[in-house]
Amino acid sequence: MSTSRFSLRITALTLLGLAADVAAAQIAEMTGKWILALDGSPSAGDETLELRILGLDPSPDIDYGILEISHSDTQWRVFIDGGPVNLLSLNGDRIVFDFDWTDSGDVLHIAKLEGIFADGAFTGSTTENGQKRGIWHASPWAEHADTGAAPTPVDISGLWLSLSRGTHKDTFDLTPNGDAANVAYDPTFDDPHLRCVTGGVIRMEDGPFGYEIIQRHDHVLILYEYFHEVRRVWTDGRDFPEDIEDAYLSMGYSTGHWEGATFVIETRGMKPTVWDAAGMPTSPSAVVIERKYLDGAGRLHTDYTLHDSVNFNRPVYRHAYRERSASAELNESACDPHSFYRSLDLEDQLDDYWRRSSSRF
Amino acid sequence: MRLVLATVGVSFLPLLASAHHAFSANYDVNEKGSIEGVVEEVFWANPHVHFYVRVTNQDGSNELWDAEDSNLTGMSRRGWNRNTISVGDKIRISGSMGRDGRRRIWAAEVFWADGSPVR
Repeated sequence: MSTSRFSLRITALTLLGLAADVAAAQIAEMTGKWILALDGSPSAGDETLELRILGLDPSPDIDYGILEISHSDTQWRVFIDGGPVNLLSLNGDRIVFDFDWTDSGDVLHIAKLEGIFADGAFTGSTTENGQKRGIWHASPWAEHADTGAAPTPVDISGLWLSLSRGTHKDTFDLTPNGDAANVAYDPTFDDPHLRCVTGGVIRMEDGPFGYEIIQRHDHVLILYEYFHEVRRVWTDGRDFPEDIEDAYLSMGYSTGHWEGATFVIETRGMKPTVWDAAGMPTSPSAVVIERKYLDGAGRLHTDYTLHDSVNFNRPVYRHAYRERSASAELNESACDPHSFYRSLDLEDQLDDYWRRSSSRF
Repeated sequence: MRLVLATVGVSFLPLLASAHHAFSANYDVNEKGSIEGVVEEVFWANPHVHFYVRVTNQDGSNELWDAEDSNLTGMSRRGWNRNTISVGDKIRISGSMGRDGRRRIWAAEVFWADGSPVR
C-alpha cells in the first residue's frame, strides 16, 4: 500500500545516485548536512528569507528540514530529513532536486528546488507543478554539536505555541522490517491518534498545539496540550532503567543535559508506534535525540533525530520551532475515542478492526 | 432533505493524494459534495468534532451520515462552541466525501437551512 509508484521512483533514483560534474575542491564544501529553510511566500525576496532564518522576522512562514548531500564512488545522493530525494542535476555550483512532502492535511506535494551554492550556503527557488512556491536556503548544520561545552543553561520555561506548519517529508529509507510495517499499516484502523493514543515524542510536534516547559532543579517538565500528555526529563545525571527496551512507554523515558545553551534530551523505552500520519514505524530499541535551543528572536527550535536501525537505514530528522507566549493558556486537549469506534460501527467495520489487533500501535 | 453530490474534476487539483494517510484514506479530496439533514448527535471532543446527521434521500429512505470537523482548538479559534450546532438543527455541510461510498464527509463548510453560513 505504501509503495506507490512515486515512492518507488524516489527509491530507485536515490539508490542509483547521480554522477555529476563538480570540481574536486567543491565536493568537500557541498557534502554534509544543511539546515534547509523553505519560505512559502512566493513574493518573498532573498533579503526577507535571510531575516527569517536569523529569527528576526516577526511573521515566519517557513518549513525547515535537514538536507544531506553525500558523495561516494562518483555518485551523489541527496536526502531530506533522512528520506530519499530525487537529485535531478548537479552541475558545477548549481543543484536541482525534487522531493515529496505532506502538508498538515496529509496531502502529498512534490516540490522542485533549484539553487546555487555560493559562500558556503545554498540559495534558490521552489516550484510546485511549474508554479513558484517560494525560495529556499540551506546553511551548514551540525548533527552533534557536542563540543564538550560547559553547561550554560538558559531559560526555556514558559508556554510555547507551535509555529511549525505540520509539513514533513513523506517517504523514508526503510529497512525490510520497516517497509513491512509500513505496508501492513492501514491508517483508517491503525493510526494510534484515532484512538487518542499518542504516537510519541516526535509526533507531538504535529498540530497546532502548545506545550509548557517548567524547569526544576532535577528535572524538566513538559506539559503538552496535545493529548494532555505530561513528560519528565530527568536532569540529575541518572542512567536509564535496566531493560529499558521492555518499558513500552508511550512517551518513553527521557534524560537531559545542557551542552552550552542547548538542552539535549535522550529518550528511550518507547513502545512500537508510528511517528507520523503516514505510518513510519518506530521500534522498542529506537532512540530519539532532541536538541532544544533559542534563536536570536527568542524562538525555541528543536532538532529531533530518530535512531532506529530496526526500521530505518538512516537516521530520521525533524525540525520544529515555537514562539513563547506570556498570555496564552494551555487548553485541556484531552481526547475521546468515541467517534473512531462510532464511525467503524456505522460502516460495519468493527469486526475488521478487531481482526487487526496484531497491527495495533 | 436530500443528498447533493458534486464531483470536481481532477484538473483542479495540483496535488497528489497519498493513500497512506488517514485523511486521504477516509476522504476523497477529488470528490466534493454536500449533505443536508437534521443533526442527530453532536460529538464535541478531540481528536475531532463530529456531527451525525440524518439525511433523507429522494426515495424517502434515510441514512445517518458522519460529518467530521476540526479539533477543539481549531473549533475554538473559529469561534464555535458545543452549543453552536445542536441536536435537531437543520444544516447543510459541504466538503470532501468519504471514499468507497462511505457515508462520511469532511466538513469544510457548514450552513443553516436558510443558506447562511454557521459562524
